[in-house]
Amino acid sequence: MNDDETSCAEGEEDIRAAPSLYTRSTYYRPTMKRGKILKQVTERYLRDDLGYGCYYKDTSTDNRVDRVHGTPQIISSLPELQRLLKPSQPVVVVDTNVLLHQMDVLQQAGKAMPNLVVPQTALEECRNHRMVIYDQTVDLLRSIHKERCTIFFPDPYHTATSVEEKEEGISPNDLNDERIRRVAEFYGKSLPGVSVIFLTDDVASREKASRSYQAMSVRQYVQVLEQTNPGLSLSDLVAAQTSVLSNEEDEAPLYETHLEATALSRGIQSGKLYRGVLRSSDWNTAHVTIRRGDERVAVTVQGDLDRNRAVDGDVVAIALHPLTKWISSAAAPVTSSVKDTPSAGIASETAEPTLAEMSNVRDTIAVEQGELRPTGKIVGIVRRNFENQSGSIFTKSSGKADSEQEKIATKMERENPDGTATCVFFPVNKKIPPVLLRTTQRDRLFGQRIVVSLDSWPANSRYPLGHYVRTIGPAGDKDVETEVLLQQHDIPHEPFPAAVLACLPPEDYKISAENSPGRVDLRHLPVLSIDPPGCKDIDDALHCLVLPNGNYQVGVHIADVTHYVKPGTAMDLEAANRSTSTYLVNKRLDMLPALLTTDLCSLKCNVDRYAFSVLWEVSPDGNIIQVDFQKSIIHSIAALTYQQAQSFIDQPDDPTDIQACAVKRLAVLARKFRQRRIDAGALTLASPEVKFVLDSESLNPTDVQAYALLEANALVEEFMLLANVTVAKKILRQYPTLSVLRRHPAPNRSMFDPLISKAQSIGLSINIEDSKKLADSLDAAQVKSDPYINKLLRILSTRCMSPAQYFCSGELRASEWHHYGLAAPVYTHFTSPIRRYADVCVHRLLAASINVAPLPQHLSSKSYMHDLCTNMNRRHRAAQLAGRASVQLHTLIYFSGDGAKEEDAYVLDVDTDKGSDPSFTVMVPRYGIEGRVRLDAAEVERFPEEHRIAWAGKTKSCSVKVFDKVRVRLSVREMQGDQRELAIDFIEQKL
Amino acid sequence: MSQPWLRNRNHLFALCNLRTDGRKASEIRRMRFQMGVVEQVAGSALVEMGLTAVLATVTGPTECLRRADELPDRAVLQVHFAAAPFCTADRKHVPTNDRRFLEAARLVQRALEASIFLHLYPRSLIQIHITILSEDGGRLCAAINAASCAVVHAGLAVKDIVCACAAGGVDPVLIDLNRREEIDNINMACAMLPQRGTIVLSQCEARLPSVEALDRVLETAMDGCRAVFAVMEAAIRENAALQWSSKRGKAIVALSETNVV
Repeated sequence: MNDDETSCAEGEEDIRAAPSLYTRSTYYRPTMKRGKILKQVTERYLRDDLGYGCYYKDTSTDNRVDRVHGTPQIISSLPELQRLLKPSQPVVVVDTNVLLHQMDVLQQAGKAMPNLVVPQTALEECRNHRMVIYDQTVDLLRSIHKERCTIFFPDPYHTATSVEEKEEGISPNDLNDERIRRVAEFYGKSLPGVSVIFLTDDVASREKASRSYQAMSVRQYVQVLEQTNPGLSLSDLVAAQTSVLSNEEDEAPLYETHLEATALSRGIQSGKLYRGVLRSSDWNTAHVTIRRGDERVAVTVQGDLDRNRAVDGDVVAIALHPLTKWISSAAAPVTSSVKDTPSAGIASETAEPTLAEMSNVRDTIAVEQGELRPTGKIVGIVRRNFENQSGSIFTKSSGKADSEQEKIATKMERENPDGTATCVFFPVNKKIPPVLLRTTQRDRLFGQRIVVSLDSWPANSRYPLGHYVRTIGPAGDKDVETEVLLQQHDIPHEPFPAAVLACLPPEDYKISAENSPGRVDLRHLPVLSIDPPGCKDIDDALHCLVLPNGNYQVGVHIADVTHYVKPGTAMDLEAANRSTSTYLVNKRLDMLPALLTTDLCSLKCNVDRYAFSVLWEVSPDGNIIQVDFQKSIIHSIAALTYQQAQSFIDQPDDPTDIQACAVKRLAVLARKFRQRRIDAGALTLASPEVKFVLDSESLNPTDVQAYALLEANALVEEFMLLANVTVAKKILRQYPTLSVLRRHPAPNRSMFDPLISKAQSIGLSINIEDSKKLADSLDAAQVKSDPYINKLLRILSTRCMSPAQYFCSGELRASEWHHYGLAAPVYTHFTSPIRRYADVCVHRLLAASINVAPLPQHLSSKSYMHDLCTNMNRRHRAAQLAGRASVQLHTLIYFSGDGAKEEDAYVLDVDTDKGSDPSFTVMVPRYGIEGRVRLDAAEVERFPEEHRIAWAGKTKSCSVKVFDKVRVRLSVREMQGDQRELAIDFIEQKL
Repeated sequence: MSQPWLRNRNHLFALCNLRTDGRKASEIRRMRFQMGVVEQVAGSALVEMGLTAVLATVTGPTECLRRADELPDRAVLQVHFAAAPFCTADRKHVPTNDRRFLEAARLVQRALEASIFLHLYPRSLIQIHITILSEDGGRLCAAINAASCAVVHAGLAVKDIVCACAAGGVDPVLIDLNRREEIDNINMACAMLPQRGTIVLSQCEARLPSVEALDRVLETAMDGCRAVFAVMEAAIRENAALQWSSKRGKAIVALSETNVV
């Protein structure tokens, strides 16, 4: 610490000599599995060249406007610090709990709280508790503000603030508080004349504050701020820390107390407890995926008490129940809520995927008594996942409380002595329980969609506590509800951050052969694309030529997204997180920024574009002779719509028309391929989907159309399937354990039983032995008088199958890779990299297999691939659900406009259980709506064998059987707080 | 980017350009060299790089144990590598025929063969015993540095003092990684003859993202070796001065602490 010290202070980068002023060791003594005491030593270098902390400066030279994050710079001298600080404003030092719980105050205070210091100790603790808040803090620190000065203070390394850990009795928490107080003291002493405020909600910490700075609670400081800045309204944002519930009932804790962090980590290390992420589909059921050695198992958590205040996404510690409390695998997880939903909705396409299918994790364990589902209870929370939730407030109903929500609201709502009111907020996200909210503006918030942040969940409170963040808008408004449904399904919908946009190629990026060495120039080929009308993100194009030897050359050209999205960049990470584009009725949420999605990657006609091409040589009778994979540059000659392509197929031969010839040849080949697939047992399934016709200005739905399926659609689909299968085989040969594949499990027999019995009741038989038999029996199941019955059967059998899913080939045995619906042994997604991240991965794998680019490092990590696939499955499912919710929203708007409509419907299911409300389920083909029809008849006769019920109607007696055609009335019913739902009422039977 | 599995682990670095132990990217850990810690052998050295401590002893040149092992034109260099049971947090016996140790012994041997004039000691045996006393990353580099120091202390003729240092990580390139950093990052150990600029060893088990990254990592590791050399040279000179004066009866060799920082 003599010569080196001086040299290290002046130089920036090139000094290599040992710089240490002092090194010191810290000792930890954690207990390992067998009760061993371990001694762990780490060293830390204390520095005197850290000055007054780090600030963030925009050092970019290229003057990009979208750049928001600065690079860290050390404030080395006092004059520099004084220049940076906003004059005549206090310096605010925050502690961990303020960061964790009062982030909204810190963010929105803006100009009122300009000089903010975040000590490293606080930030690290924050990172251990809530990653979301950590991200927000880092964002707040690093973004370049005009009116704020945010400083990060690395206190553990600073000679003036580091704290010796000498005393044994001090808890780590107290030590951290001491460290943070030292930072406040450091600023207090070095800044004479400037008031330094230490914000903390911890009373003990405030009492220990020294005189060189002022300690305050957030509520106090906010009151001070609001007095000096009249325009500010921060007090609603201050988080509730203690139970805002009444004084009378806070004695008895409703839940077991959580274990302390040290006890948790000891329990997890010793194997008594397991650590995992809690996932739930609603607030009655939840699972925690734990690891036992290499294998992952999902543990079921049943009931409120076992769940012990954990919410979806929390990292929890779970204790397994004894074997006697495990439940049998046959018992379906509690899904009572599904049956209770009274309203009608949009018909779903496939069965709900089970947890095991979504994440490739088993949820049963084989024990002596057979396969059992393990159960457990949550004993502590390692990391909270309190994210902001949107929803609305329900209030006490004047009369009889109808709905579940009103009952809860009536029970929990109360006025507080200080003029605020506690009311109950119901998130639209069904995974999250209701939230108790303390606000001064209840009447203003009623009937609005608002965003609420969850703060805490004390053991004596029935529901978690939260605080108001912002108002989205009036409930029922189309744009407001769209935003709400995006939040509900957890779909990332913020604009792309600047770091992502910075990865984009420049505006004037030229696509040319010179710009891309190593590409094959295929611009001479007559490539064309076939898509729905108005499609902006064209990711595939085709061509077909006759070779001199009489064979065909067929090419599928896929947009080369990986040329622009380099692995590991911010854009790549963002795309991996989004995983998929989401298509709503009135908008599209892209996975990649618009410049790529609609311009550079999109294979538009008459421009050069980069592509990843698969080229086959096919004999005229449809046999593939050879296949080749190339990175290429193409020039599309036409962007056809399905309708145009269909007219090419239908028109007579004309050898002069290149486009028509190519389409015709492709159609001939596609028919052959298709026949071969069907012979192998591929299923033809049906979907009840419909499409809205939107008003061009208001974007309100004006009409509903069914999707027209032309041969051209089948043509494109056929070649995409072929490309996917070919690529899957190729990457699998090269990377047998690292390929991203897509599998579709064979359906469970028990799922099909109700459908088989229903079909039998109208004299049709369905055989599900294998996919070939199923396909044949579906083809044979025709009712002469009504062809729609066959489509209905196909829709229903799709619903008996679980959806396909992504997985990493090393995770499952080869026999499980099978794609049931397509009857293909291996399958993957390669053809839509613009809108799916799985395809991006497959592109990288394929590029590595043909030696044009090395395989990115993270793609060779199996655990990364597992997480990636799980995320892709989850996002894919969420995007589907959000799309359906958007259709439902537009259906509501459509029906609320000019009132109720009468339509034909088919009966899907008749409720023949004794004691249940008389009802049956119908599907309205014209609108793709499915819903429960409730009958107000008192006496109902039930015939479970025939799937039939009969009752005495108003005028005549009625009898409804499964697959009957009925006439129903569709209308919108208004509920409390401007909420609406769709209702279906029975009118008459059609014969 | 709220998915934890997408997260960059060097989070502190982005905030204040400091590593988790408070160093900057281009700073090596504190190093201490003690020579002559074991009396019975020809040469010995105890080297600490941060919390990693390695003891090396040199015996020889001696006669070969078996006649068959002798080489007519040069000495045989044998390196034995072992770890003390207490060198990691979890106390456990480490067998000496562990594959990783055999490999490390071979690497140390190759690195030192590049420097020692073995042909000056024909038909003889030089043995180096390396013991890891405490392990906190950079084991191989510390072992080479210790062996090199012990060889100098034993008075064997060498071309240059072999120095070793590791570098790793790609963005930013970190130097002299400790155990925690080794887990998360690429790690490349490098040994060189600093005064000649010859690399005698470079070893990396992870996959580097590009050739350009290899250049940068290797360049940084070489700079690290030169920095190690500066410290090592000072220690050797100081030790030599002590021995010189003690030989002339002016001082007593102090075996306790010769702290060179």
